[in-house]
Amino acid sequence: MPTEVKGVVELLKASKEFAPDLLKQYQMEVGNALYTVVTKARGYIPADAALLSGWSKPSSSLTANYRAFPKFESGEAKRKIGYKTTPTKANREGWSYLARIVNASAGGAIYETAGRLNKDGQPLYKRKSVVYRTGGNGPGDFQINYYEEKDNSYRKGYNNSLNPNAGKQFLKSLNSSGELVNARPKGLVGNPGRKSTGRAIYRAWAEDEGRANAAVMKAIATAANNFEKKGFVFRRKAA
Amino acid sequence: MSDVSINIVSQFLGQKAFDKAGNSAHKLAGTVKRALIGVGFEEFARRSVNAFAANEKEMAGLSNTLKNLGLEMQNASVASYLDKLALATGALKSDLVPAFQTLATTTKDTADATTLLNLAMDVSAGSTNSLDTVISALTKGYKGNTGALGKLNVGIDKTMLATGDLQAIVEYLNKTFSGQSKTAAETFANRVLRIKTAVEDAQEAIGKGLVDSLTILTGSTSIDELQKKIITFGTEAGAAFRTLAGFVKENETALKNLAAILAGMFIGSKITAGIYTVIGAFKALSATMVILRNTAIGAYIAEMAVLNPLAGLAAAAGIAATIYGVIKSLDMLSTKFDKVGSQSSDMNGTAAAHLAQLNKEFGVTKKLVNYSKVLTAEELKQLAAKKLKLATDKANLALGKGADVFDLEKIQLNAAMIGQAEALGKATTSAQILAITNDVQRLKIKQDMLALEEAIASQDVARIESATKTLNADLKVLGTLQSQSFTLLGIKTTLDSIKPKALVDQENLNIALDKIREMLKMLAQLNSTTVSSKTAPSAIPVGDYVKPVVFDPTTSIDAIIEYADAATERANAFALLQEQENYAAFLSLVEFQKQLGDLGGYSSSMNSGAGYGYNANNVTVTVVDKTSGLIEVVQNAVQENNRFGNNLSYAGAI
Repeated sequence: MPTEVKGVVELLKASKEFAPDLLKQYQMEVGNALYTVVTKARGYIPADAALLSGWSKPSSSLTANYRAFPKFESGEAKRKIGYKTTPTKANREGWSYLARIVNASAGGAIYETAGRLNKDGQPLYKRKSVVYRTGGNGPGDFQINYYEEKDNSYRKGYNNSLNPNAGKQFLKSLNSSGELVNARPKGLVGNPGRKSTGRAIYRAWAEDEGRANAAVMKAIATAANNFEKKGFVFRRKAA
Repeated sequence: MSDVSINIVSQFLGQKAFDKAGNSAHKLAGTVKRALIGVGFEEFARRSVNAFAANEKEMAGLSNTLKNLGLEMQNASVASYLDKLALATGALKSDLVPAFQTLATTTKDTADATTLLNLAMDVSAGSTNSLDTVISALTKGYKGNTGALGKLNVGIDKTMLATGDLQAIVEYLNKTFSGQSKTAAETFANRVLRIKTAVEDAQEAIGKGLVDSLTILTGSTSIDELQKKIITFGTEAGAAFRTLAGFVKENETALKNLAAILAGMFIGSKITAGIYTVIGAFKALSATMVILRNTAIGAYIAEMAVLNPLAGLAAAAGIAATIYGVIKSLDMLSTKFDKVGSQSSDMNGTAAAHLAQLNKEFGVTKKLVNYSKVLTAEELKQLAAKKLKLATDKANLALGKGADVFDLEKIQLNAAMIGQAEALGKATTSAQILAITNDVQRLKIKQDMLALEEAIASQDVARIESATKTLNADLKVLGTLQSQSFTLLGIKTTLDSIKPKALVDQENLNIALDKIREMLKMLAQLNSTTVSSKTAPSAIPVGDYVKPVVFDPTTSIDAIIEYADAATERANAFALLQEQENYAAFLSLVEFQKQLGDLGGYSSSMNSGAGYGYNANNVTVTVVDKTSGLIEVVQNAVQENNRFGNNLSYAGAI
């Protein structure tokens, strides 16, 4: 999804060294562009009361020696939605991101992404067998799933609740306040994928329809032009 | 999950890319090493022989089939076609040869077989069917059984299938799938297959990085060129192998011994750094062997070749070592390795250029940062220079001050000024004063000029301006003096300025003392009168005052100051007493007025209180005729005016 550019990291470094005012102007323009999305995304964070009540209650155990499932607090989730205009360190593949919109709180991130992978919640542990039945007087055929019994150990990726429908109920609550929206622009070739799907920042980004992205690109172009107008020679790489 | 983010603008940073390229090259080296070197030259040779044998077997079968079909003359062109097809599409010859053989057997015509094979390749590439399945369906269709073609699920209409018109079906397939194999051949997967075809001995899964790296490393501009280079190398190396085979046959024992030697050498060469090192090792090995050939080993081999001629190429297990041990082949291999080495040089040049480009790009920021550091260093240097200059200026100033002490010219000027001042004290006439004043002013101007020169030398703008201003003012005064348009009062400033400033100004002191005397005298006169009051008699004792003191020149300053302080305190005390007495007199006056009654009073407080208007009933107010007197005065005035002609009537009045 990110737009690929060349030489901007170098431009920003040079601006920081030789024209800090341009860097500030660039950050301000990018910030203005992204703030509209951030504001909209914050608006998609529901109130505590709109979700399952147990998720927003403080943890009952003060002596737990593990990290409990993060609680949701609407104010914190809204506060921690923001933007960053400083380039990131290059990842393992060598990519650096110049501008980002983040949903940094744990509760907010869960609200953002829950249901991406398993729309009905995490599966029960290992299905042992399936028995197909033919409904004699009922509505039709059905199947009975038998699962291996769950021991006390935590199994990542599986439903660890005593309630087999916990995930489903949780997601139903989330979906009632906001559906998952894919931010990938329509018309692009390829599978949209689940990683660009979310309820707050991704939804806001999708509804922005590329305006913020265009504004960021314009800010970059402006910064480059202004940098050259100041008399610096900044070699632009061929596209 | 702690940070869900939308990444908006991304940039691929070169450093990691460069590392990645380096890693890819390293992987490539490992891959090539595993394919060609890691398994040992024996394995490399064995695979080559096996591949050669398998290919020979397939081609021999095809050749035999064509021969049986009466198409023997097409054998060479078919082989060439299949080679090119394999290279162009990445298909294995082991698949193509049987396919073509089947089609040729069915159609009994190489042209039809070629057409159908091309079509089958396109259909296979454009659908999910394997080449074998498509060939089989086409073969059956050619024989009239079009049902198999329908099972290909490539959109052939059932009506068309029912007609059994293979021509129409082929046209449809051509129209639908034309160019599919060519397109597919350009896909990444097929590029890998094409490379795999070209280097089928390697049998390694070659990734994209390997493809690109191989292309770069060999200086190839395209995959086709890379294929050609690989094939050329293989062909020429194969020729060398064939050449050496005869020698192996004749020198087995000697070569086995040599193989052991060479294996040790080979291991000892520690080939671990990939193809570059391998090529270098090849060259080193070749050079070593050339030397060996010309020395004892060469002689030994020659001897053993005569003594132990053995047959059979089956001893290919030691083929790699023997390859390099065979003297006759060594030269040929050396030549090939040299060629590869030269390509490696080209490759090194290309890679070096690429590296230089990357370094250049990555160096931009570094240069900028370094430039910033240089700027900062320059600024620091300038700052240090300024500090030094400041210190130097201060030092020069101090030196200048010190120099003044020994400046003869200044000493002379000062002496002249002092002399003029003494002369001024002795002057008795105005003319003398004027002459002295002129001289003094000239000396002063001379001093101003010196000061200005020093100021100019110091390059201190403020100091220069100040000195210039002073000089101009003094020049103006001198001009005034010389034009004689002056008064003594006008030059008083000049005279005063040249008088030496004593620590205690006697004149001022005398003036102060005179003031004190006057004050004491007034006090003495004040004390000489008696202040009488009924209620508050004067508290100042009669005759109590400080007598005026006349100081002589020997009186000390401290004594004078002490006397002045005492006189001041006393004067203040007397002033306070005087005020009290005045107030007491005022109060007694008020009392006295009260006894007299209201006489108009001196103040509001005097006319108020119990006494004021106390006898108001005794005052008789009589209203008299206030107008009679006034009328008389007016009448007299009118009469006199009329009498003296000053008629007050308006003109025309009755």
